[in-house]
Amino acid sequence: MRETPLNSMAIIWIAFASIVTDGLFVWPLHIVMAAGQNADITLMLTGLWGIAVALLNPARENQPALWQMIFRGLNILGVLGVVILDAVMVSELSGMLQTFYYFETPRWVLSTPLLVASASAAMRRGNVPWRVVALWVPILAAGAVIILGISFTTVHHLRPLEPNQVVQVIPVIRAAGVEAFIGLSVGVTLRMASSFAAEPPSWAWRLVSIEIPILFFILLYVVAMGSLGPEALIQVRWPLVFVLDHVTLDSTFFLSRIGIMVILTWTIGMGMGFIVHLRLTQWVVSYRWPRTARWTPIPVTGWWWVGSLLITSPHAATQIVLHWIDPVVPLYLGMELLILAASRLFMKQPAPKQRGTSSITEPAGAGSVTQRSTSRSPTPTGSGSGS
Amino acid sequence: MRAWRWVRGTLATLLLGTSLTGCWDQHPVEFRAPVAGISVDPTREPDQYDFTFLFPNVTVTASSIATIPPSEQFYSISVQAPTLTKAIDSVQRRQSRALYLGQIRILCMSSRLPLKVWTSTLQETADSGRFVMTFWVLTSPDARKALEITPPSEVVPDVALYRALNSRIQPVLWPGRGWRIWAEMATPGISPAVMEVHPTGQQVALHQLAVLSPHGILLWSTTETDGWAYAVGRVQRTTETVMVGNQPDSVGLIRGHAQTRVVQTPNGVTVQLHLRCSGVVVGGMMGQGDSIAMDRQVEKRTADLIQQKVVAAWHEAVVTHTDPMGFHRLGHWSDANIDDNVANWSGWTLETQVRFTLREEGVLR
Repeated sequence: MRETPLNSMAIIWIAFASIVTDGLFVWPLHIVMAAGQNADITLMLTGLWGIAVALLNPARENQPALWQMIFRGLNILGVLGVVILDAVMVSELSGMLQTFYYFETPRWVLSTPLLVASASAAMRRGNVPWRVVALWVPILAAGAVIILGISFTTVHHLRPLEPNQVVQVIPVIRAAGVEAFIGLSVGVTLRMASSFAAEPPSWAWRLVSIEIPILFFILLYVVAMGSLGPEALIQVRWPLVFVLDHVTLDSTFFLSRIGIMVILTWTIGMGMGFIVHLRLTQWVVSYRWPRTARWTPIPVTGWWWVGSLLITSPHAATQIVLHWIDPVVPLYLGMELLILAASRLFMKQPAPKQRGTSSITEPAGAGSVTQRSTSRSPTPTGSGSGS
Repeated sequence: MRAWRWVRGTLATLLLGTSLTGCWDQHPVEFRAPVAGISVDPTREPDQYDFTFLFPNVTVTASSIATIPPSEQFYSISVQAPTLTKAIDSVQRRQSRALYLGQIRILCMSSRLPLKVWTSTLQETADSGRFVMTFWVLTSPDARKALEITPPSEVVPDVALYRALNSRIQPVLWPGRGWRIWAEMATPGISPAVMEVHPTGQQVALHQLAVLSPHGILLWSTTETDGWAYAVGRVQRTTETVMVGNQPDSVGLIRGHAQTRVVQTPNGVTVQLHLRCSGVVVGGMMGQGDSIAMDRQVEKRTADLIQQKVVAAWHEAVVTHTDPMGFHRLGHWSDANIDDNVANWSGWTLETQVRFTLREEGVLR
């Protein structure tokens, strides 16, 4: 059976799932703790960084051998960081579910089904996982937009959403450091997703791919800050959950609490992100072991499961993000930005002929190996599927 | 290969089926006791408080509601405890069903309680994760009595006070949503305010604002309460009576919007309050002709009255060293040099500008 390759719209949703999954915890509280009302400046700065990465990202991986090696090294580092971070996020998610919804259910029970589902979806051959993500993420995003739209009824404080009169640089930079962990998945996701697309996504598509998650983060910030204000926000451990949990629509006909909608969207959304991250690991493993790469999700989700259990509480998970992950990540992000900038300046553009072959519309029938799939791993793209 | 798929599918289904159903947290509704409201009153002992938990009587079925008197539709359990958490524990020991705290409608705190008890009780509800803080916080001299009032019009599981505050039927959008009161307690620069409940017979009435201050719970008069409502833009369908000539005229369906700026000036801090209100003439102008001049007079008189009420609220705030309008909070957010201590009103001045317009003509003219 021939598969239709991914279009640029699918790339947008894949990037959205991947980036947002790691950005639902920790930051709203801690950037406000670090920068106060100037947290919005931090958001803008990190948004600009994301846009720069998206624009500088190479459209394809068919580069000269040296650059290919450099990018592969970068991807391996990035994916390693994402895999470590995800264990912390699984712990945060199960901790959140236990704190607010399933008080007596053990955390491992809450994380197991999600991880099993993510792993089994990621191990499906060909483009099936991408199709799952491209179908569900827009639906979940629409749900999230409805939830956020309703939540705007609780936004009463507009003044703290504006920057303070006095802008202190150090707290703003410190707050940007808090957000660093979200940046791990940005570049590597865009590189991988665009290498699987039928057409290399244009700069405009890449820009949209990064702007949608940025806009989403801004909306989350507006809801949390506008509802609670800077002083109350830093006193709750889960500001987003706190705010979304208290949105009521008692005056409407049948929908009074949106909590169940929030939790469904949140959990399934994170599952979608985990699928993308598992595919990332398959991708980098296939650099060296293309045949066994398909099974990578089993050890990775196993690690997430064990790792999330070893982290004793959501508070401990937050401390790991802030004190262990955040200090290291800026080194990677800085290196990534430099390499991307250098590649734009010094890397020779691929020959037009090669570009032509990369736009083949059918990636792989059984056994057929194309120009594109020889330059990358065959496994995650699904070449060899249908056997 | 097929067998493996089958095994995998079965395993996944079993795993998802057993864990997603949340067996650990499974409590059938007949084993649950949803708490509809909690009241807190002081006792003779200093660190012991009287907690009353109100439960809807779940044995009342839809078919028997008509025959059962209101007094039997709810039941309550009272305990003495130092904190809310201990009280929950204590009530659970007296209750054969699992307490469920996600449906609490009302938290009624006695106005005789010190502020620290208010703060600690709200903090415990916020910390626990089991409360959904969409309940309304109210105050009354006798909190238990106010909680247990069930007007004949209400049947289980509705709580009259919750319905009164929740549906937008009141002349003013009253304050007191649990999570917002908690946020105000956590934010310097605002004195949290809730509504005081006057139980009269089997009815309840909401007239006066109760402002939380370190010196106790301060009741504001109805004029000051109205002034507060105008100043924070929470008026949605109130009524005022103004004198035009010798004739009292009624203006109704008044709604308003407040735009506030707090700025630092060389002389101190100035609150610039711009109110835009509108309403409808609802009576009293019979036989006075239909002149534009008369409408302008009504508008002017109403604007003056609103301004007087806002000034009355301002003076009360200054005298009692409180700030339920949150001017200090806004000032501090706008300019970090402005003090967020609500007791400090020295150097503060108020500039109000009220614009009132008549929206429609009404039925009688």
